[in-house]
Amino acid sequence: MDNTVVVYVPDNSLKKGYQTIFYEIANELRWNKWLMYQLFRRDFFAMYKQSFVGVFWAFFMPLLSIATFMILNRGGVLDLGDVSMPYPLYAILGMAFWQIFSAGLTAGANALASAGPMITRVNFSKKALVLASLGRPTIIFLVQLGMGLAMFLVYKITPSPAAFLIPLVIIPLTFLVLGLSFFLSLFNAFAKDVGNGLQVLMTFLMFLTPVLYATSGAGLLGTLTRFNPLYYYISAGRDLMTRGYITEMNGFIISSVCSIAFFFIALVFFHLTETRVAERM
Amino acid sequence: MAQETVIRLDSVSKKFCKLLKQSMVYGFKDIASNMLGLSSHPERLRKNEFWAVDEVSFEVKRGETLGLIGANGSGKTTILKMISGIFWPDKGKVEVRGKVGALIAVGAGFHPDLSGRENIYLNGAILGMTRKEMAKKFDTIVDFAAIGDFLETPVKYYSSGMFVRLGFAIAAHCEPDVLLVDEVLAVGDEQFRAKCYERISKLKQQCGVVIVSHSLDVIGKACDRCMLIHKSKPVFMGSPAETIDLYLSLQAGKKAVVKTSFLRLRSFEIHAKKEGEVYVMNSFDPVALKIELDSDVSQKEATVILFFHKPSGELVAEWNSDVNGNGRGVDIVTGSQGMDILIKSLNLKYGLYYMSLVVTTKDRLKHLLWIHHGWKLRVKGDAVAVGDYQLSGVCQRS
Repeated sequence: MDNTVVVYVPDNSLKKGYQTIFYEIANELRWNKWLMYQLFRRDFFAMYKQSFVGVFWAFFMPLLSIATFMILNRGGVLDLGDVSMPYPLYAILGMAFWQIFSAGLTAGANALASAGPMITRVNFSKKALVLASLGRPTIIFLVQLGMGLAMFLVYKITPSPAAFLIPLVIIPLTFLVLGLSFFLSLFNAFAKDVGNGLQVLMTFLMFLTPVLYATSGAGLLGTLTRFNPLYYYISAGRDLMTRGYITEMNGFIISSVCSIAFFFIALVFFHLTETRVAERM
Repeated sequence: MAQETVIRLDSVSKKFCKLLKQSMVYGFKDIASNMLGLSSHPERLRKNEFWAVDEVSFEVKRGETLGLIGANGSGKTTILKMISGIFWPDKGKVEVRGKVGALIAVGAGFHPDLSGRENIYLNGAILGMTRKEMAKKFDTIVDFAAIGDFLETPVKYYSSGMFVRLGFAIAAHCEPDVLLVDEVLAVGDEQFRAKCYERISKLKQQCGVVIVSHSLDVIGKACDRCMLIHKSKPVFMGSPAETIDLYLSLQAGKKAVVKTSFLRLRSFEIHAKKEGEVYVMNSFDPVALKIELDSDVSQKEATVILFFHKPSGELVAEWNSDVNGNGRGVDIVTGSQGMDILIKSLNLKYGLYYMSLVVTTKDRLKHLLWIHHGWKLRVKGDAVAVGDYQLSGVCQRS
């Protein structure tokens, strides 16, 4: 028998104070760990259920993109810049980090909208939905990172011991993805334009971020890159594995601080407004 | 402990917007207000908004069952959704003690591609069960759902009955302190429904229950108290029998549909008390009817039928001249004529009934007159009665 009393009153606003808000959030996350795991399992296994080759798709898709870029590169169609390492290795590492952002944000932004009927019929943690949506991109990241390490062997290059510091890049990147997901999933639940717009934006963003090419540092692209936190995360990840240090340290630190601050703002925003999702869906 | 209040609604109201685009705009405005620490003034109705639930207050104690009745769209389900925390109120306060178990649209959250086993874990987690609880209850849930060999089959291949059984089994085993039941028992076969009732009555002993149903049988059988909601507002709270009676009187205000052809009905009279348009009788009263007709046609050996329908449309009783007369039917002649019908005992349980009058040829291929739901009859009686048909008879010490 549970004796916790829950009170619902109108207007879940900032008036209740940050301390109460963070206490509520911490409690909710603590109680919903098992739910998050189950939701992650659902997303992951359901994706590969009705498929003969299953998880193979997680390997196949990035390999295909890299092969395409190599063919275009060798044909002289694309100038990928000086990447200072074998191109396939450069590309697979870039793809691995980019994928956390792109697949993570796409899944996160759709977390509420795709759970529609469930949200209007059962009261459960909506944060768990958003957090769990990052599970599959994380697994795919690990798979791709494994492919990257295999390529180190193929090219007989020794990865830097600093590769163990990769989590230092993953953590702020994850905060950025979750922060954006908390914001966008709510707006997407109200107005489907957000999800549709995001798909278009993601393609643009991939070409504007040095995932598969080296940045030129000049012109409009160079300016855009300087303000693109993804550039710092992706290059920091690659740097740690190959060079053993982060070349753009300042940019990386500023991006990380901003991402973490943004995450907390988004979390509070989500907590205060998630109660309005069911009635507008 | 036995008498602690588990649900308290204090002047609770909820508003919705009729238009989708406007609802989206209001949604964004409300979010912006809340983020700035301002009130979104939920107590005010904006353009195209309406109160779906208006000033509802009640309390439910542990071990008690409250029934909510009212026409479609009166706000019953919205009240349940506010208790479960899906919707937050726009006015008033909702207080809930302990874990809420909702038998509302069971199986929501099932993933079609996952197996029964995987869905039990997933759905259990969504309904707030912990890993430990799940491990303990797993076998009981599988037994209750009786899905046997299909545990490893994706639920998209389940029959609709199996799907609902599994959904109910999970929801009914989450040990709630507050149980919300919404029309869930309208599905499944008779045997499974009986099993569900048994489970609910077991759960009732340890939690507060709120039931929403259009089946007055369910309400009459299961509830200790009832609230009647009419057009979003609570209009009455009392015993199930009193509340059902009032609900039926409200329902009886609905307009009947009349269709005629060949024959015209001049008058239809039952020798019984009338409240407005509604005849009122007791369960075991005899029914004496007088009918007057004008006919354009003559028809030998016609059949006169009187149907009694529930408001849900279900046919519960029939009187017809073939069975009750001399077996030759009634001869209809051109011009005016009258007929008297005597039904010895009504034998219907309490409730509202719609009566339809049909005159047809003996082979029933041609309808001369069909007055659908032309008259309303309210049967007064003991709300404890469950069977639709009440047998008359006496019991004597032998």
